[in-house]
Amino acid sequence: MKKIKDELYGLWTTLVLMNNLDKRLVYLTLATSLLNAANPYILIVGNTALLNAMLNHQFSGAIQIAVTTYLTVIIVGVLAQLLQQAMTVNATRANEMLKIQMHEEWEKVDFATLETKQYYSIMNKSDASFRYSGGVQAFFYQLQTTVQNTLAIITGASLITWMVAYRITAVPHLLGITLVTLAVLLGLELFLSRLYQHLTGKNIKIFSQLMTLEKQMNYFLLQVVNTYSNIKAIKLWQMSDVIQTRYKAVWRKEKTQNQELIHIEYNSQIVSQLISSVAIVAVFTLVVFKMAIHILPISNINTLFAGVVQIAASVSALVAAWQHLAQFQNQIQYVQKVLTSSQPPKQLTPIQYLPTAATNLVLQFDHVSFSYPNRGEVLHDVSFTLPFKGVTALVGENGSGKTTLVKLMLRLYTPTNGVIRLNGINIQQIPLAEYTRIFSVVFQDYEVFDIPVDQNIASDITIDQDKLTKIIQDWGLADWLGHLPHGVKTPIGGFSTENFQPSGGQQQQIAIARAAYRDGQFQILDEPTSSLDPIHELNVFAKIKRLSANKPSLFITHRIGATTLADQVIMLQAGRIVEIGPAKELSQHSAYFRQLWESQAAMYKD
Amino acid sequence: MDQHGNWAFVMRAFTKTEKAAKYGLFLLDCLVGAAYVGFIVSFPVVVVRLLQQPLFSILITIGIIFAVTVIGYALGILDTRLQDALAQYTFAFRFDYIPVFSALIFNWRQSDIDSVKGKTVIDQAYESIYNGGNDGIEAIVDNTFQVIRNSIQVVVVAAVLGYFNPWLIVIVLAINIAEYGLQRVANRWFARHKAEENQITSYQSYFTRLLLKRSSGKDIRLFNMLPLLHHHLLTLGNGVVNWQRRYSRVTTAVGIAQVAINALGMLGTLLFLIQSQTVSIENIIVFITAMQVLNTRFTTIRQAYAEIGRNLSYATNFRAFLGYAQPTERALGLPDIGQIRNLQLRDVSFAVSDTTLLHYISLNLTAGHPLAIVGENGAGKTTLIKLICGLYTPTSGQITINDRPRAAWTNASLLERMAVEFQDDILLHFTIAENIALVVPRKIDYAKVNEVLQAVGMADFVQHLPQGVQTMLGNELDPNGISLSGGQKEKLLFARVLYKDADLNILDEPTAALDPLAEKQFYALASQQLQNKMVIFISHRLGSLTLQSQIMVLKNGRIMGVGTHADLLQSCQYYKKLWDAQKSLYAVGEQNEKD
Repeated sequence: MKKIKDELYGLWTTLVLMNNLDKRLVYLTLATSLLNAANPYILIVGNTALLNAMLNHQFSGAIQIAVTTYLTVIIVGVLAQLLQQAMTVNATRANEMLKIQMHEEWEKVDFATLETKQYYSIMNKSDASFRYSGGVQAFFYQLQTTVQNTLAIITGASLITWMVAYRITAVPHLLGITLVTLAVLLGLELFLSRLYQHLTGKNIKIFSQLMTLEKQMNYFLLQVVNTYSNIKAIKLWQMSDVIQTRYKAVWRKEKTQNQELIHIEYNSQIVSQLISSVAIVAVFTLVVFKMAIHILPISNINTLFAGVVQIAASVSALVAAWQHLAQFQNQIQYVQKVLTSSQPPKQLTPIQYLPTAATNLVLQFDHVSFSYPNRGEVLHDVSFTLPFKGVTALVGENGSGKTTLVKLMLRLYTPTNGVIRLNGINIQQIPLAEYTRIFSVVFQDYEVFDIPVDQNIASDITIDQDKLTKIIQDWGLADWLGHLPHGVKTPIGGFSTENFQPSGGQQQQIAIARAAYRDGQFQILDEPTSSLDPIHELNVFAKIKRLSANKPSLFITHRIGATTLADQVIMLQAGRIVEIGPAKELSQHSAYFRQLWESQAAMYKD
Repeated sequence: MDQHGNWAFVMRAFTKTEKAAKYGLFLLDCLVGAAYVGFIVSFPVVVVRLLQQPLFSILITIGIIFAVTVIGYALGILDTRLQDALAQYTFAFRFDYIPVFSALIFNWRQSDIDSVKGKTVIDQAYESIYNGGNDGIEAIVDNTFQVIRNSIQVVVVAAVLGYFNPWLIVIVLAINIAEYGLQRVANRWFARHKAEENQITSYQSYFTRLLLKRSSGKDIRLFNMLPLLHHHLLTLGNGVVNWQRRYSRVTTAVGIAQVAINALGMLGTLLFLIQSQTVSIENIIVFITAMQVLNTRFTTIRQAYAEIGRNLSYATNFRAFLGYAQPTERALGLPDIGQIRNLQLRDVSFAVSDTTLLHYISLNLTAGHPLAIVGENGAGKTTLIKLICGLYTPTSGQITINDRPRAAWTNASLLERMAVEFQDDILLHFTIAENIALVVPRKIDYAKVNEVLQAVGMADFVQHLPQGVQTMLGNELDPNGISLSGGQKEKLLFARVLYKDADLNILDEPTAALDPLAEKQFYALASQQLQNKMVIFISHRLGSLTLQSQIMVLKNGRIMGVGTHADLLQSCQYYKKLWDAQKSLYAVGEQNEKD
């Protein structure tokens, strides 16, 4: 009983969620269910009346009944179709809205949370749940089927009950026999429903196991086999054997689970057939007995048969729909999890005076430490002052914490200890949107989106054309943009007919242009030249120098030679700041700096 | 489009294995189904006859009715059980192709893999086996069963109906043909417009994958891109809704027409019966019951037939993929190469469609004399490697190995003796040992694995892992799998090369993710470990290693110069430009120092 209560409660929460998406949907569903449930019984009642008329040789009356019945059926049927159409379209819209809501929660969640394994797992499950559940349309379809068949069963059961109860006291022992039969029937039905619930439970369990296996299978399909750049290595290293062995191991598991699932689904069908046929056999025998002893007119035989067939069909449709609703509920919980547990980045009480209007900005790290959840500390007790002036180089070996420092600066991460201040104010107190507007950033793993080039650069729909044109000129994009079919409006990627795939270098130029367009007060560039050859690299460093005359910037690099382009150098080693100051001074008094310099400059000495 | 041929192809593939069991099962299922439907249709008549002309006492009559009812419903349940067994077969039919497909793809010609057509053939073929039971080859077999099974049942019911009045069959047939015609209208609309919907949904999945790739989250947050993404997501969402609206209009119109035809048809037949004044309960009951059964069976046949038609487009792709021409190992009796001793390219050129990617490349490579190929992105370096590996064939010029043309040796033996590390190589989400040895666990030489881990400096790291070399990398197959830094990944990829112990080693940008110190260490390691082998390094930067090797400079697919570092500084202007650009960063410092 508790399980059913849980399921009903789950169904209720899903209904509330769906209702919030579109209030009309539930009403449309109920109306459609009503009409669809009514139609078969209109037919049954009409046919029985027709039969009666025929038996009494009232042929003109029979014709009248026939025409009325079937015209009503047509009208009800047409109405049901129209309502169904509205339902389908609205459900599709609600589904799309829900998907968008879910994606936007992913976009808003705090970045450090986004990077955790747990959130990634929830993201994947919530995305997969749309595919496995069939979406909002599937929910309303199953809901409609459930309501419709419940109504049909109730109607049919009432008719049958009428026939069972009709003149039940006319013959001795009839009441007694009827009650005993019904009691036995009830007992059997309860047992069968328990069995059905058990099968539903197994069904859901296997289904979630299957989701995990499917994800593993998808790894092989999408990241190994269908990532065509892998095929050359697979051929040359003859990796087919080792890959196929692992692939088949997962495949075999999924095959077994799927076959088990098929068994369960058919067994569920058998159980539902038993549920209805047991009832039918019992009731049928009782009613026919009454007809045999002439207390029930024989014309009702039509109602009996048709009603029985209708109930049988409704029962199997109902239990299948109920099982699908349970499955749906099991899937959609992940979407609900994303919607209810999203955590935008921490924001302390925002203050009135925003220091962003000021021109001289100074960022200060005050004994800041940071460690990732479940991992060791990556930055230890970092303190420094960074005025937004000139060019600063942030250097250090790989793993020294340079990127982490910058992410803290940008409020993608929150310090685990210590405070970061801008002009004396804790940055957590500045509204996030205002704070991020201060910066123009290019990370090493920047993302160029499959949307038009101009939108990629402007990061917005509304674009300042003059600003855009100037940026394109300044950063050398004009050369190749001129060759594109729609110039700067050309969409990137394979989802448009142009199928423009920018090269690595062109992508980097787009990312840099995006930062330039942003026109923040401070520029941050993370290893801007790692994939460029020396000539192109030098160009970019030269541009950085040129543009930093008007815009202070910080660039992260492991090329020690680039520090000569900077006014100030911050040097990290193993998560701590070991040096800070002008490059010239560093080479004079820092042994570590000189060591790194030598290791890179050595090969240029003649 | 040979639709019938495609259908036959799929059915033949299905019946290739366990023929007797499948045929037997299906036959039994058809018989049981037919018996059940016969029961449903004739039972009312039997009951009415027994009630109106009682032959036996009431109790026995009831007893007979009870028994027959039980047998009838038992038949229904048996039918379901048989369909379960059949469903297992049809599922396995589709699912068994998954590892078959991957094995085939791994053997495809490189030019086919690289072509848009080849990739499309693969993608479309997967749709025929990877979309569950409702789309693809499983659906074809299932629906074929439905058509046959229900057709037999229709024949049984028609026989019963015909016993009463043959015209009834004709009317029922006419109604259903009309409904089928309407169904085809809806299906044709769907087939014509599905591509539009596919375009929208595949663009939508791009955005989903984009957000799942969490690195994109930085740009999205830092550049306040939420409104921009919202605009695109909303546009796409509206696109889906609009498509659905148009499709629903068609299906609703068809649905309404079908409702009308069905009801009017039944009405007409009833009026016909009333007019003919064939009045007996039996007639009417049989007619009503049979009409209902026929209706549902015919609907099932129509839908199943339409589904077969819809899914045959998948069958075309399925067949195309399985039949895609594959390279046959050339002449038999080719010798295996024992050891690669030299590699020579003479005026090798390579063009794809109308673009020439490489022009007249010549080189000579022997053990102990590494070659560094240098040039900017897009200069043709990776293409050259693919030619040497045999993934492509030169359009002109010749590649000789051990003084014989490449084609004179068995390809398998050549691949044995060479190791190529590409720039976009990935580590698999398997164990460290499997990633290094690239063979199944029982064939791994663990001593050698530990040796190479020692050589690349990862032995300590791996020893400290709880499961050592059996630790899983990545979290796709094992949620506790570890992730490696860029530097560690490069070391493991190089360990792979060392494990293979090949004669010819080619490393394509092996240090892209490393900082200069690590890069220097890597090249020191590489040149030491591979000092007696044939080695080609590729890079877009000039590093410490290039200074010690023979260098070939490529630009736009042509050789700009070949020689030692000192030679090229004198003879190749482009090389000098590269060198000066790189050096300038450090020269400035030196100048400052002098000041």
